[in-house]
Amino acid sequence: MTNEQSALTLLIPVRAEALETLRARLSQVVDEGIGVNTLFPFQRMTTIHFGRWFILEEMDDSPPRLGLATNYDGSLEGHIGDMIERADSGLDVLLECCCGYPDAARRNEETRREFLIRHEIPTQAFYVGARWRTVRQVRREAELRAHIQEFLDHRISDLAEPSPSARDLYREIREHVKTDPEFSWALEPVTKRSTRDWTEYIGTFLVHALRGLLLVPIVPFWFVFVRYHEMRDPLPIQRGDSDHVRALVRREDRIGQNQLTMVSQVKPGWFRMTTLRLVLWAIHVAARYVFNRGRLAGVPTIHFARFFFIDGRRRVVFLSNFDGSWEQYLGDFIDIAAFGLTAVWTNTTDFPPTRFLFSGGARDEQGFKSLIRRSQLHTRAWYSAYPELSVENVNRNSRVRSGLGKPLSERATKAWLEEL
Amino acid sequence: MNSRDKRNEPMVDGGDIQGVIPWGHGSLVESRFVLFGIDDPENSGSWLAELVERVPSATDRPTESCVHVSFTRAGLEKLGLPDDVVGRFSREFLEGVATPHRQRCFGDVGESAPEKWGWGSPGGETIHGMLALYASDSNTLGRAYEEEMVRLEDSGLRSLHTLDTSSENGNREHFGFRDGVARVFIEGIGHRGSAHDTVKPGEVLLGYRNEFDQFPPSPTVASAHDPRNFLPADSRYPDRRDLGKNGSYLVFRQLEQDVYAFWKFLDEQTGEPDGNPRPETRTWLAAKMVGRWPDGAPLATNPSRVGPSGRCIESDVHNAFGYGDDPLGTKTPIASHIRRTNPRDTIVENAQQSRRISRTHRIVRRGRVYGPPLSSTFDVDEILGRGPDGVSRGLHFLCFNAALGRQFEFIQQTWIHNPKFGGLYSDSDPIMGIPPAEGGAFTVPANPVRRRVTGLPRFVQVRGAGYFFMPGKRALRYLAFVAAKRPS
Repeated sequence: MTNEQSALTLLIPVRAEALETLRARLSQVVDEGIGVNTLFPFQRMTTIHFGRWFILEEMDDSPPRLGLATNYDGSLEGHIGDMIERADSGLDVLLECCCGYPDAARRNEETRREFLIRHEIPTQAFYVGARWRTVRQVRREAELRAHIQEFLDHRISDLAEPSPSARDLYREIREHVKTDPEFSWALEPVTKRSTRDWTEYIGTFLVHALRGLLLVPIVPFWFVFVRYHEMRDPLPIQRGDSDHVRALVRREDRIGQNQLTMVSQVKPGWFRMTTLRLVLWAIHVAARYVFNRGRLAGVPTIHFARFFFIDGRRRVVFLSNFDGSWEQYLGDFIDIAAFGLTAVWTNTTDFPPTRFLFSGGARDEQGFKSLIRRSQLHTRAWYSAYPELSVENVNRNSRVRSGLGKPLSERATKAWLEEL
Repeated sequence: MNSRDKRNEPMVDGGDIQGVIPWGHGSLVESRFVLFGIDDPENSGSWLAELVERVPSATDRPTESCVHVSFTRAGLEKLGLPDDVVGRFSREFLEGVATPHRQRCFGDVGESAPEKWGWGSPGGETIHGMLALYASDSNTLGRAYEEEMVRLEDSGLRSLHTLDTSSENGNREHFGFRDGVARVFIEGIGHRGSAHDTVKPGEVLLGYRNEFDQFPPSPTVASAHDPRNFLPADSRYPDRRDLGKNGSYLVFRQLEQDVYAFWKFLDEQTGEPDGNPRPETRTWLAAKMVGRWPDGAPLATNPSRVGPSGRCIESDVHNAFGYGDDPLGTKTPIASHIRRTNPRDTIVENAQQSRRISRTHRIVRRGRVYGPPLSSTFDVDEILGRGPDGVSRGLHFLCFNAALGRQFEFIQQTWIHNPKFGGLYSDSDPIMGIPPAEGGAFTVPANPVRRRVTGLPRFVQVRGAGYFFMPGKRALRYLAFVAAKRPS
């Protein structure tokens, strides 16, 4: 059974006359408590790491749409079943505002499941900060760490007292964990990936590599075309909307994590759309095979992030769940990974001028931040299964746990103690 | 668009900048801050027009006394600046420091909540501006203050709250630590300093390029509304004039320090099991929390305070160090105060890049200590013997920056009050942080394993705060003009 997390995105058209009701009901989800409300109690859904409900307002060619995005464990069927079971009639209350939802007489698990799956949107790129971990594992490893810290606090409570040797401490901690029935699971190894999982992982990589190799010869020509398009790009219009920003900021920083939902218009034309597809494909591959240890091109604060297209690839949507403030998140990208951001968003309208796909762009600090705010939507309801943990915390907790299960060298023991 | 033609860009115009921003007036050891309200705006224009000519610019170096002036959003509106111009100031300045969002981010909750502030509270009297008086001694300060108050009151303004400062502490803040060792310098004006600590003028002053090579957003006025050409032309829009040029955003927060509680906690944490104090360990733990020894020597270069010769040396007190050789924090804990208010070369893995990034998050501090010290020699046993005396003491924290969100607010929210800073779990800043109800934690990385202190109470409370704008002199003359011609 794979522990790899997956992304689910649903987009469901809303009946125009029910839009206001839907907004009110989503507010109810938040007001009653995101984890425990009567409509969609996220906390009871054990497969969800992060989840959100959002509304895409009516656009020139599309009706208003309700969006649900989750980052979940296990199989798709299992996850959908989890949500349907836990939300029960609450889900009906939300979805009856949508077009085509089965009427009361014909609602059962089968029809609900079929309705949801019918509205699934494929993900173009998906990044996970702490891969191969279930919600349960994340929570339990956090408890394990707290347990060890408490033990250590008592063991060496006197600041001036010399500490036992690394080896002895490790042994004592291990013993303490082993003999506690609530934590002895930590000494067992984490579920290993099966041969089937490995085959899929490596096989997919080979397919990507092959595609990449085939594309390599056209890359230099592609850059020439990119530059040609860049020189013809209209200058972005600098507009600010303080009320919009104020409304967004008011809801931020209620916990140590934050999120953003952004919709961007892809620049017209086949070339731009294809460049964007290629860049997102590259990010997706890099996220799975290269940036799989908790840092995306050096940025260490992202739990889950994804890109997907809507409206015949005329628009691209970006969702992110991250640690710290919006200012820190965007600042990190501008400072550390501007090139990646630029490569994606230069293909969308109103982006600061770019050169050769990677240069300029996001380095225009004011223009870039202003654009992000303008593109950002109000996320109606947002849930985190572990609001008190940063990505670095999660990864470190896993290292602490795995250090307990196997014999460690002198050096490894020292390194393990440094994790605490 | 930002012009890339740099040949015609002016040097920093010291003659227009209010002198306290680049210079600090350190030799004028006495100071007083007067928060005022404009009751009757009719004569505020002539009051301001007269005041401007006495405000020292950065090219004046006053030796006896001087006065500076800054305004809040409400103050600018009261002077008669139209809404569409006021609306061009930064969003953070317009919203003010006491919004619910900022309360969450800065920890202005509980005892430090705005409702409880002595000044600057949203429900209290509206502050329109602040006069900052500086003088070489208390007699001179007293005289200057009297004169300013007469002028103020004669012109229909009123002093709402007066905040004194104290020069008794010398160069120490109230917990007993030497302050002001780490300083920020502005390229092209003011004191000179090391490259690491020198920032582009646009980080502090509007109208100049910042570390991103861009001009910070600046409020402008239509040229037609400045017929007497008080203001400089705007570099971006030819039909507008730059009101914000040579000005800066000023953050003022009154931070009250509980000196007794601080040392009591340290004494309890480091004492022998039978209760006897261990003064050396106590000082050691305090140093670990701050990141410097009380005399100012940094832990990064002085892991133990006494030098090889057995004495404490002044040259050990400096600011030329980094944390690159200390990634785990065994010398300077990651959670310590100076490390998290300026991570120097360890923001990212690359030291050079870190230094560059850190220059985008600096502020120019111009704060002053207030209140009498609990022990005039900062002797801890004396402090513990005195007990809590109910006297308010602390720091009137002032700082200048051009981008509130990226500078002051960022440092507060993302570095000081962030328990996840640097990979930490639940360590807030031990000196200024907001611990949870059950008490906070402070981790001291060590070999082979960390030491940890828990149950940290809150040592610093906020007693008042405000966001101000300190305009350049030409902008002040323009504001005086606006105030004088407003219909009564």
